[in-house]
Amino acid sequence: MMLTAKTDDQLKMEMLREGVGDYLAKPFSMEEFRVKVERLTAQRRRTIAERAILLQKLLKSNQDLERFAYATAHDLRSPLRSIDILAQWVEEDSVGTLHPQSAEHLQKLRQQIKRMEKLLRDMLDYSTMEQATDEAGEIVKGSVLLTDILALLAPPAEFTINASEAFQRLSMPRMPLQQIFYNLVQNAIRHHDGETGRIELDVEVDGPRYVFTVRDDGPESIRNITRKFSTCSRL
Amino acid sequence: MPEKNIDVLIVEDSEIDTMAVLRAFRKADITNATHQACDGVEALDMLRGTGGKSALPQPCLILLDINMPRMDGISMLDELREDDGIKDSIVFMLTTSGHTVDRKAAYERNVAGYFLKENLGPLVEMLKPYCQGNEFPV
Repeated sequence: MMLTAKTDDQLKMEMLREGVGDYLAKPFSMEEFRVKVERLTAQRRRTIAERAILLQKLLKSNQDLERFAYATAHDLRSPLRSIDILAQWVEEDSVGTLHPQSAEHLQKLRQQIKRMEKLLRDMLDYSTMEQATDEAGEIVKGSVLLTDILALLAPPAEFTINASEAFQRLSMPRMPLQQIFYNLVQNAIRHHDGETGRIELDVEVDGPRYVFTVRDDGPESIRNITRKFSTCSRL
Repeated sequence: MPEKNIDVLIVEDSEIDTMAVLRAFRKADITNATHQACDGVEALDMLRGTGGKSALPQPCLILLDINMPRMDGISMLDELREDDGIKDSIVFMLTTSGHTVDRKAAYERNVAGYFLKENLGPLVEMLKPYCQGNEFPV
């Protein structure tokens, strides 16, 4: 709230545009001043209350979404497992009698089931990740994390996946970073269009924060995007 | 004189999972008589001989799922252990739930073992000599 002897209209407009709550020119009546201050504080209280309600709603809808993702992934696993069991029985019972092409199709069918099982498991892991982040988890060196991710991923031999010295030396919480880098590297491999590929993990210190980078030589020329939140994009 | 083999009761709401157990038994040459119930309510009726069911011979070896409609596995265990007529039943949990709460709840109700469905193979392998060599309650 501006209290000033300047009655310059242009300045007044400028100030109001800049976000000043009100503009009171001297001399002014105490009454007017009081009413205006009351109005401003009331407005502020209302904004705070509205914001609190909004935040509450947002938290709730986030929780609902997490719960929904968890429940969906959980409920889908059971019928999927049944499908796999049935496919396995067909496979076992038809050895030698099934057309070779059908046998191959059956095998591919089971591969897809495995893939979907993995997606569902990832979804479950992801929806419990928030909690894991809050808990004091295991701290590992970047080099250990990379080794574990590569063991989980089993990337094609044509792909080179490297981490910078800084990344390898840095101590970091295993969860959720393992899941995040796992997803990013997996995406980079999956969406790579070349015969061979290179993926690099790096970290830079930016004041109190660490900036992690996953860089690949896939499509969209050379990408250099810090995709911290792209695990969300698959949900 | 060889005693009669113990009867096995499979309590499971998924038809496929029941079939999986029966198939694994067949493959392992386990010839014990098997019975099937689709939830805790039906299983208790079969064990007690209530609800129009004829009572199964006691004791029974029960393979018990946890998540089922009407009455889940843990609630069924509660009733089972309270009932003098059937509380001697030998129960192995066979479930997809690896949750610590479920495991704790099951062992607190004196189950003989807790197996995840993906480990049906090892369970059946273990059950074969167990059914043949174990001395069951009289």
